Amino acid sequence: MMSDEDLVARSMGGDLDSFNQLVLRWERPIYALAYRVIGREEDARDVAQETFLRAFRALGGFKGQAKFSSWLYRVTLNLCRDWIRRERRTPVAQAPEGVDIIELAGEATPAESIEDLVTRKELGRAVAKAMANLPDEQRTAIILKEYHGLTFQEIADLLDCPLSTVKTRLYQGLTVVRRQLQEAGVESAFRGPQ
Amino acid sequence: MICDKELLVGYLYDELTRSEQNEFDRHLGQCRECRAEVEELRATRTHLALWRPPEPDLGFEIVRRPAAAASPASRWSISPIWGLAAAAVLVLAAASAIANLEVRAGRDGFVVRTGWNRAVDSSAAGVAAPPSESRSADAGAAELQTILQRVTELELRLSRERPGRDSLVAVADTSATQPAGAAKLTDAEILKRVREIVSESEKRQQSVVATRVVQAMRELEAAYRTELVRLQQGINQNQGLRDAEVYRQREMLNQVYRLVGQQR
Repeated sequence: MMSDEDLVARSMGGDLDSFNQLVLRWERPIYALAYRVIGREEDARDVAQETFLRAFRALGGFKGQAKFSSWLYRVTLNLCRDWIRRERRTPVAQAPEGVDIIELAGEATPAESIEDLVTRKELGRAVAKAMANLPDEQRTAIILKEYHGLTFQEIADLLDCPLSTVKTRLYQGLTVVRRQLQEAGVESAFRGPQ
Repeated sequence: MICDKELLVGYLYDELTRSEQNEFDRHLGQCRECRAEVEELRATRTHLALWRPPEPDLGFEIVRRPAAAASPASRWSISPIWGLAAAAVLVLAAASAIANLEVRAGRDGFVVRTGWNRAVDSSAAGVAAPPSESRSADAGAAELQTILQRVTELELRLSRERPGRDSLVAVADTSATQPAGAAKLTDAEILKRVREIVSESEKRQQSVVATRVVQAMRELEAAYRTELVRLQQGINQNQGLRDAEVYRQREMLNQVYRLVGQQR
């Protein structure tokens, strides 16, 4: 499989297919990042789409100092910030009110009971709510670390802040989430994956 | 060693150097508080992993738009009158294109095409076409040539009045030269002439365009109705069977869920 850097080089040479391979490779992580930052499915989709359009238009300015993925993350986070500012909203924990057994059954692993499935869904919703209550900086640091596996240094570069600040934001954010989950009674109710 | 939260986070995410990790391991052996905190934050990380975004229907793809036709006009300085003349030519070109006429301005003058990929000039005049379409296209081409010749005349007159200006309108036919001793035109006269040209062209093209639009609309509507009927038949056929099956499965699973709940 070709590396991101190779595909970027080909894209810069005018190969549209190579850029579309990058899109295919990164559209889900970018959508997931946008969704977790702003909390709205449709808007996250729009942000993801706009990210790739901007990246394509600005490809000539990509000098390769950072990884292509980091560059995409930066564009996405900027768009999310614009969205939050424009909408004057705090991110929301979007989740359906009811639990659809049919839908859950489709997601079940063979060893998982329906009861555990329901608990898992409820826990996911509680996590989303706790995350939505965090300050932007702490939430973003946790998202980049937990769900995208960036190193402390990569996060610091992406957010233009010192390494120690990233660690502090992570520690504080995790502590708040832990407390909120405990207050919601989640820790004792959920047995965790076996 | 005091409780260092940065080290604790580094330990949690396995991003410490070997020596830092050994140091923190020793600290954990002595500090019950940090030990408990590491365990609790590990549990929190496990819970965080369960927050998943919905599965979206993405499939983004960057598609290049067809390249726009080259615009040599950008090289030229355009006065208001020349702008008007250019606008007139564009209007004529647009109307002609709808009526299967194509006009392109090139370095060597205008290229006029009629019908589907059929050139009007003598080199391609022999290409076969349906008689009615050929007649209307040829008539349109002849009319267009006349109009273009008149625009060219205007251009040449203005060139004499305003020497040194670049020409926006390319010469369509070099044999269509300016009659000798032509009178000078004022801007108002030019404006009037251009309006007349546009008006004449619009009138003549209107009927051809209207006929073709109506024909296209009828074809589109017929195709749409056929497809609609076909789809409806398919949907009606499948809907009955599917509804019954989904309802049965949903009832069964809900019953299972209720039983599990009662046994808890």
